[in-house]
Amino acid sequence: MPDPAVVLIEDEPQIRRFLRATLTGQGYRLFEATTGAAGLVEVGSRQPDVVIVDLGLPDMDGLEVIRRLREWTAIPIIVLSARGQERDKVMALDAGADDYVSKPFGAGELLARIRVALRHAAGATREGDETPFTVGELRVDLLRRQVFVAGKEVHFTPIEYKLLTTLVRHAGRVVTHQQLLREVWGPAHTDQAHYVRVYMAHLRHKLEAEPARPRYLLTEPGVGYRLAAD
Amino acid sequence: MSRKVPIPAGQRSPPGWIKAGYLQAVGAVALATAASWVMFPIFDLADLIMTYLLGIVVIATQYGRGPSIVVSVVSVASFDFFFVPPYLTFVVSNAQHVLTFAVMLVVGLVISGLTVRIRFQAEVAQQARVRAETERLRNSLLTSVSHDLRTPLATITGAATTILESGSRLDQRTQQELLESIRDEAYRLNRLVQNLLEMTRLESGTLQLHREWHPLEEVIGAALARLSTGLGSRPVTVNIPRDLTLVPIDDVLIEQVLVNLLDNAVKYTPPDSAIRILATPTDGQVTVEVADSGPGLPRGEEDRVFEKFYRAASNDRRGAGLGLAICRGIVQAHGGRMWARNLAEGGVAFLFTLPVTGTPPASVPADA
Repeated sequence: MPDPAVVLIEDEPQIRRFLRATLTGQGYRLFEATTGAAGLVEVGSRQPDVVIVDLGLPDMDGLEVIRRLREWTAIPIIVLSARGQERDKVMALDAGADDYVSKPFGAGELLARIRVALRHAAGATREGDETPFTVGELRVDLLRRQVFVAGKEVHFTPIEYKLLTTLVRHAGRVVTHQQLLREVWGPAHTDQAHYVRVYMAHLRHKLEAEPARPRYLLTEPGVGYRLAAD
Repeated sequence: MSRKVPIPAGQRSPPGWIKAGYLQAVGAVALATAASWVMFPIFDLADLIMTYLLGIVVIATQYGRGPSIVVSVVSVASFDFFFVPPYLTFVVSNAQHVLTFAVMLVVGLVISGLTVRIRFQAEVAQQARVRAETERLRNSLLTSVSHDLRTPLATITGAATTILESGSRLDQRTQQELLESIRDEAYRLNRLVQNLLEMTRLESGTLQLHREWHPLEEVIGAALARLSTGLGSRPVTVNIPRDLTLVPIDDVLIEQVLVNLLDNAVKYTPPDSAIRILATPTDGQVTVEVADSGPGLPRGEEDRVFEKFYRAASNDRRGAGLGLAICRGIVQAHGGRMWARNLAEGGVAFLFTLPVTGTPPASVPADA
């Protein structure tokens, strides 16, 4: 199997330079574009495994790039954005981006996001292979509908279980409140964000040793939740 | 739920004509007339005129040109009406009195003109003082900010050039240390820029609260997670009643408050000393407390720490002194209060309230 290919759409030369060092150093094949338009062409011709898009591009809104890509491809998209722009991140995720990193970010953080995205893309092509999800002391067996923490089985109400399995299917990736509401409660409840928060609290009290310092069910304020994957 | 935050406005002002002093002008004449009425049997008319002039001076020093003219004219009219024969009419029997009125009116107008001018000059001087004060503040901001920007930049530049120029001659450990300081200083720079942005947004009134109902436990958890590296192995205890109500807050901003408070605790207390976070519901609000077990605040400085650019010690250069000012600004935007208190057992507690206004959302539908 060839090394995974990444298309990077970013106008800042300094950031491109550092990402070039990081990504090629990790064995990725890197293709760079400095504008949204060039990026769209690059993705079309290179058929990469992951696309990294800066939300602030000179020629078009990063959101527009995401929408245009989503018209024809399911390639994982990771967004680069700044802290304090939570609305933009949510919009990018709702437009179809898979994940984001906030500038400034460390190389490790971006590489972890890319690995998760690649894993999910690979997982989508082998549906049905439901090996139990494990992280730390948590084990979720979707086939047998069983959840264990440190070897002890934990029981859930139907909604709690549905919420947990939704997070497991997105493990390592951020999931917005809207996504969770749609997938767990259905499209009629997407304005009830506090449902998610209340049920997340239930899950934490059942799964976490210290619910106020969660190890698995992480909060991304203003954006959503992330189930730790490692 | 999302709404614009009203930025602290001036107090409600009284109607314009009271503010301008017209009512006071008429009042002054009434007082002068009452005093003159008492003096009338014993004193000369000239003394009564002095009483009226006193009223004119008082009004002219306090209010603008309009009330000054009114007080002069009404004084002359009252003097004529009450004290110049024939009494209780505006008719004047002796032509000599007409001259008296004219002089009295001119004196009144001149006095009011002069005092108004003096007042105007005083206002100009006051404005100049305010401008100078603003200028001084801006300079201290520039000095503080440029120092705080330059220190990490100097470290980063120095460490990076050292590696570039003598990288091969440095041992592995030194290189590692230089790289780590580049990383840490860059993060510090980022926090500073973040704080400056936040402060600007708070002060310009462009901060928008995106309020939703949140469990505090989650926001506290997010703050602890963001600071997990800084907290290291410090014991942190979190005490939140299990049945604590949801609170209507902007989670991103309240997380920032908690991060700033925890960051302070990390900076100013010895490593491994304990931190406590406590949330208690009281009437219509929730009080959050972040307490450390460090040296505490200097006595009498418990409120000053919330001032912009305040630093616990003059030689302390670990931050721009904005963190707590931002915390208080954010809490006030939520309609809450924030204060600090030294603890008897040592350490300091920072407390803030979050009002639980509005109706908490209908309970979440239960599932079997």
